Amino acid sequence: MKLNRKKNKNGKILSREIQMYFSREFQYRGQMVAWILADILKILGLCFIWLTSAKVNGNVEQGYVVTYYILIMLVSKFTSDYTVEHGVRNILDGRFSNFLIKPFNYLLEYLGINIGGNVLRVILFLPAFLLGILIAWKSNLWIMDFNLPSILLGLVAIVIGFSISFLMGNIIALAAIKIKEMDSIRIFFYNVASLLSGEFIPLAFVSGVARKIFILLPFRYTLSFPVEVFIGDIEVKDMLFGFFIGTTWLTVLYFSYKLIYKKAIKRYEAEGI
Amino acid sequence: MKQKEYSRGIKYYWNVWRHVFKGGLKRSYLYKTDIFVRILRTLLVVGIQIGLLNILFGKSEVYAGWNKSETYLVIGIWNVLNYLGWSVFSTNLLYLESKVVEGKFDYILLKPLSSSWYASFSDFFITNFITALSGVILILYYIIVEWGNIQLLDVLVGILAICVALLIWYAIYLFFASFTISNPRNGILSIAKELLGLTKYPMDVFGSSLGFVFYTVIPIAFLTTVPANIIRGEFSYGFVLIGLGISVLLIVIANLFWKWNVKRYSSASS
Repeated sequence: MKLNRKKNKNGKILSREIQMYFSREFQYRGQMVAWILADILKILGLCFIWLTSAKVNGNVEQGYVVTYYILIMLVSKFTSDYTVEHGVRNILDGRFSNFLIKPFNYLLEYLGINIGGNVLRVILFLPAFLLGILIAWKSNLWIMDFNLPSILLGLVAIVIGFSISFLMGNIIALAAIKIKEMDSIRIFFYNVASLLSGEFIPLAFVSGVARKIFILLPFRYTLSFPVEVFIGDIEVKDMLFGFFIGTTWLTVLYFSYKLIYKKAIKRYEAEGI
Repeated sequence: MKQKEYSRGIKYYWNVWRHVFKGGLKRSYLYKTDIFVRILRTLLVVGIQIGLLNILFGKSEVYAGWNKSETYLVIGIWNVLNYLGWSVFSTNLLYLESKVVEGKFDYILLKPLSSSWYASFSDFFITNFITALSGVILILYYIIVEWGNIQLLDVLVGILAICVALLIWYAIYLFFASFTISNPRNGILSIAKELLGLTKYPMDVFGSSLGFVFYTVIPIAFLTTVPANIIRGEFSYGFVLIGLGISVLLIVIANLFWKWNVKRYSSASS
């Protein structure tokens, strides 16, 4: 009973945080649209690059590349985490103290910001996504079947992917308690994540040891894996293994976060206040 | 807001930038971890790019008409332009938004020198300069590997074309950043970033129609593909002159838009 009440309370706080984020960010709709346009530009560029590679090598279907990148654009909107940006700033400015004295866990507020941001981006991106599917479909380059099991499993993979991104972002943000110049670490993290998540290089093009590394690290589960599940071009045993690795990483990251937070908070000096 | 026009000589601006440069170097002593991570990142950037190209090429020797070392050259030029840009002006123009929002842009307007120049070059970031070395490494790799097949004069003119490309790069950034003054938090600079990101690969990747657009309407081909083609000996030196013309035109347009946006600027602090 008590647990249920706590869950309800957290749910209300989370929903309020999402609403607050919506009203705050809606003032800057233009910025969101520009970000989405920039994203489309980036993914279109990557799509052309890999299409050329597919043509040259003939190892991957061109339809796969186009479908993969259209879905990457959508899934990235769902699984993005912004804690590495604002969480770090909060710690460096001392505003993190405000979050700590609130009568609920600060992660709930961060979660609200992330979910709000992602939902808003998905809504703004949706017309471009549908247009992308239509163009790919007309050009015979759309290979995904809209079957319910793939979509449901893909959604589960998205939830796992977002949770992994969120926890990784929070762990990196906590480093700001010790290291004051975080720009390089933040960019380094983005570089590694973009490389290993499947954004820069689709897993279909990778083979050998590199493929094994891709599969074993957590980054794939934040982007490439949900897309692979949606497309359905993945064997059942590989999918199950993927869910197993993703869930394992989620557990490892959760306990790592707990441990790091416990140690880091003792060093927090609330500078800037 | 109307800004008073100041006419200062190049020497004056050079002296100001020298001080900015020294300040940037001194700051690097404070954040040693940052420098270490940047060096690590430089290695990672080169590693990623080489790995990526190996996967792109697969078993093929040629990719969109370019062999592997020639593609390294294009990416090398991109690294030089991108990271040199970040160390000299891009980061400053990125921070322009927070200056406008916090009302600090007023101080820039009050300084007795060109506001667009000061907003672009008011700080120097040594850490990005270190990452730019990754580009130099890739360009040198191409020159060493292809030494027998290329002309020294082509390389020298190619380096000149890279300097011209840096001007175009700056003009594009300045143009997009100028809209931040009248309308902050517009996210428009992220479009510029991704547009310039397309030049990391030879323009031939985008096919003939888009390629034509990138040589004419949106002349981003002059950033990496043209200098690389000059070094390869594929393009005539006349392309450097065309690039120079484009860079001058773009800088003039960017400055006009800068002034237009400054007129529409209303200070957040007033």
